[in-house]
Amino acid sequence: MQRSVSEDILLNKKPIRQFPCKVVAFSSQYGSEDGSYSVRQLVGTGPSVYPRYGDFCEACVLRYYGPWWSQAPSAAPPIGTRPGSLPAGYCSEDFVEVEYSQPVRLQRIRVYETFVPGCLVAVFARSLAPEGADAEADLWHRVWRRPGPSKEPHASRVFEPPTDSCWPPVPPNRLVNRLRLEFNCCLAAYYTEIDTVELIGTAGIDSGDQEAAVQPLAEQVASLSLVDAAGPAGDSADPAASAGWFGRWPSELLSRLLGLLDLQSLLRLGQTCRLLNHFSADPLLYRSLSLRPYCLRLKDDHLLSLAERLTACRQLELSWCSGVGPATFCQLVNCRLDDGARVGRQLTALRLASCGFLDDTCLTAIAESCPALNELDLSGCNSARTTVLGFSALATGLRRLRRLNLYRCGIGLEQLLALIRANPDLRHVNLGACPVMTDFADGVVVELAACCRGLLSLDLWRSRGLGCLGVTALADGCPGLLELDIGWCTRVNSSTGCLAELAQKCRSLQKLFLTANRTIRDVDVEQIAKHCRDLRQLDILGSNQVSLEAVQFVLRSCPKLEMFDVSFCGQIKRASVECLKADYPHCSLQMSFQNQQ
Amino acid sequence: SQLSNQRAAMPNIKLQSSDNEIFEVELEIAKQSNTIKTMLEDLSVSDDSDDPVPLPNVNAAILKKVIAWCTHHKDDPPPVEEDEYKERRTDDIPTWDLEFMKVDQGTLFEIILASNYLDIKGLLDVACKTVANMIKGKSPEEIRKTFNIKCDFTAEELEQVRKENEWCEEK
Repeated sequence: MQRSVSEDILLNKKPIRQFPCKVVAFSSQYGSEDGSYSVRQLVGTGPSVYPRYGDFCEACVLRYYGPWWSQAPSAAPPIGTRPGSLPAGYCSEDFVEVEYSQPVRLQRIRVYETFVPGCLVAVFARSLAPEGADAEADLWHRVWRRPGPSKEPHASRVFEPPTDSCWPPVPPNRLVNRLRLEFNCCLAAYYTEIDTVELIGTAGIDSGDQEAAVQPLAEQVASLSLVDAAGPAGDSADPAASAGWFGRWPSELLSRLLGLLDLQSLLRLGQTCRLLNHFSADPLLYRSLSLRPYCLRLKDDHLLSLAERLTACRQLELSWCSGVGPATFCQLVNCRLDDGARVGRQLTALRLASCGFLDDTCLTAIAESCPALNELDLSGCNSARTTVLGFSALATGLRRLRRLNLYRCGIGLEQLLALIRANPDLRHVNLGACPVMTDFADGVVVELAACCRGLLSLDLWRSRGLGCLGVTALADGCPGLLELDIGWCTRVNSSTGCLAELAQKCRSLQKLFLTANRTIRDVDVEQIAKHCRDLRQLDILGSNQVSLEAVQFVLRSCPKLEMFDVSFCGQIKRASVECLKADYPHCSLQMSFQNQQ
Repeated sequence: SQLSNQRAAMPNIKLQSSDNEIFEVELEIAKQSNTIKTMLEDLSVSDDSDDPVPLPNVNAAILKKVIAWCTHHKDDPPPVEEDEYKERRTDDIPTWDLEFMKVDQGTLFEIILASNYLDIKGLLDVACKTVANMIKGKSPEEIRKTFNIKCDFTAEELEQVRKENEWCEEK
């Protein structure tokens, strides 16, 4: 029997308060690796910002906010968008997973939100397999999911999700040592900041708890499952006779109905009887499939049992699925079809963001089995198990890429150059925070501009190696560029005139991020405003030389401007921004702040 | 003469149900059924012919419902043919149709079979969406109960099916 927290207190078991000892995985971050504004800021011995409210570099900040990224030209179309294909209430777009040194019986979770709170949408806890127990694996429990959109006050707070309705419940003999926070920053007015996440619970399991856990977890989960083991009829007669009304339906009618169902409903209907099981396995129903919402529960066996349904799959998203092994992934894309071809052959889009399992064998399997890919997302693919071997295979196998996301990907210089040369049709490229861009960004961008003249969007966020050379090459090579993010590319010095040249030559630009460039002057801003009349999003955060007049000129010249970030621009006063907001209500003028209270 | 003018503007045809009931319907309303439209074209049935079009797969009760739906939707724009596997919403059923679909399950399924046979895309769509909405959010056992489906898996099969799908279960 599970004891309550109050009983624990009576028994004088003192709860331990802990803060993360490490970050296990995450999807995106504003800061550079382990630096200011990085997820690493969650780690420590306690809050470092709280109770202050505002934009502080000691907090964890995610990469995106608001509708801006999903409205930008680079936004990738969603995958697996069957009607309501997401589980009820699912809206996660980012995650952070942290670990604690002492496994505890979960009591409380406290999230220190210190800027633009309210983006947290779900909290999960991972319990460890009890010592000595039969091979019951580590297990994720959903602690809390935000019930609906909420408007949060602009103040720091400690958010404490209730822990009494975990699903599946955490058995008393299991201790928690990992938490996972999932976010949706789309509704946020600005970057959300999390100071830290506290885990509170009692250490160790006493003998009472051990004995109490008589029912194996697998059984508990099974009994929770919504499948009722209704008396099976054995292999009697005609499957159509069992299927009630549906048994009289022509197959095209059944397909029409099943095509209207979300993934979960489809799979549940398939569990009702043989006939519907057969129809629910129709590969045409799985042409565009995202398994990301199920990432914490999806294991090797599940993916393998899905394989035969994926023979017509074109778009597959396995992002965040860390419970899958590399061998299973390879088996999936290499799975032979009736005609001897492989499942991977028809894939045109493959999203593998933050897939911790990726290794050289996976990259090689993608290269060999998925020649039709025009979209590949390998963001966060940077473990030691992906090396030159795997990345160079990609360049030999993939030649049709139009969209490539290598955010925080550990690809090396030669392999990246080879991949660029092999894919001249590239339209959207994300090289944000790629380690290789720290030193070789100019070389990479020069190659990109020379090979991929149809480039539409390029994300070079925190490509520290980027200089005037790269920017000039882009201006010359890619006149159709719609979007460029060179935020935190601090070596791009605008006094060389490279930004003005970019504006003069890339006149279709709709989004331009010059975050923390710091060298931008009025003349650059004026050139941008004068030539890029279609501009919708502009970020000049940290530009101390830019005057209020230049900002006004931009607002006057670019009627489509929807977002303009002028945070930390020393010459722009808050009061002036308030006036501008009144004059230009269609444009979201952003101005961050630090509040010392 | 005024009456005959109206007739000329909106000619009627007769439809005969499987149980031999005759329904007189404006031609334009009946032509929402691609099946009837094709029949009229192929058989070159003249507009003012008095012979009823036989519909041996639809009984009078259902045909009456179908005609009621077509009458209400006679001014709808022609439906666009979509990829049946392409994602479509099911939460966009118009209020009138929601009320219309509040019938017993037998009638609903007969309407679906009839609209499929008569090839009335709009009606088929909205009826299928109604059934889809009845499936959504239910457990397999609840779905069985709702639609009178008999579980014909063996115990082993049932366990296997459950295990294969456990990843998408979340309360």
